[in-house]
Amino acid sequence: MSKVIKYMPELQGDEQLTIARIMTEMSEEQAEQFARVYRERRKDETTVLLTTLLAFVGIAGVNRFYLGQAGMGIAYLFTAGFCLIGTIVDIFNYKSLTGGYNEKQALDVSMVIQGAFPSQLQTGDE
Amino acid sequence: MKLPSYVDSSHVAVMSQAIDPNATLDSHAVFGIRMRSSPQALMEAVLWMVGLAAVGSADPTLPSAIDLCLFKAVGLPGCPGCGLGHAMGYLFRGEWLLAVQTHWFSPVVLGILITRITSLLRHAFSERSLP
Repeated sequence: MSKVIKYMPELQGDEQLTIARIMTEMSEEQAEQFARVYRERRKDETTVLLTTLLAFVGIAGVNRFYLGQAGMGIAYLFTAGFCLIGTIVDIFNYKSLTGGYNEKQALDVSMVIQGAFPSQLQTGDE
Repeated sequence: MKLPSYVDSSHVAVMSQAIDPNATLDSHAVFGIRMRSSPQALMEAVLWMVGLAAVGSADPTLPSAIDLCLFKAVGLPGCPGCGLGHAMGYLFRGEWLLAVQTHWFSPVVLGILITRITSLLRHAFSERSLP
């Protein structure tokens, strides 16, 4: 938990716990690099909620585009968010939609960090 | 070294090779993390499947029993999504022409939703689990 507070103090709630778990086994250097890359990749859940609300002025699906789901974005855009029903569901689910996206990014970044900055323990055993 | 399907193996391998050619990559235990399978992904997949089953099982030739369109509910004439339910009903019965006439975008929407459901289910039952 200490590393997540040191390197990513802005995180809260479930996301903070997930990142704390991911950072537990990291060295200080790896944690610092991880924080730098993950901060660039993660999406803010308030932005997801606000983009979802654009459906009420006629532009549905911006939240899905924002989360990298281009197909669903197009489907929402051309059907007014399935007559706003999909939009209402997204308003209730915006936290888990964002959380799922961020969790996947965090795992991908941790893989890259392990590859790019191997710790002494993992490389010196041959 | 066998990588799980969700890993972009080429990327990680190139990065680690560039830094240290002898580095081994045990991606099953990257930093000892195993992501939990996602209940949210399963929930969203079930939601889309139930929705598709509902509009697919209803008889598209009958007039709407209830109007789900919220734009109509507030007095507007309709929205670009109207007719999609009936079109899905036609699609499920193999009436492609009628479906496209009812809602021009319906075959594409069906394809997109099936893609989304597949990807959600694959994610929900993937190996990764977080302790």
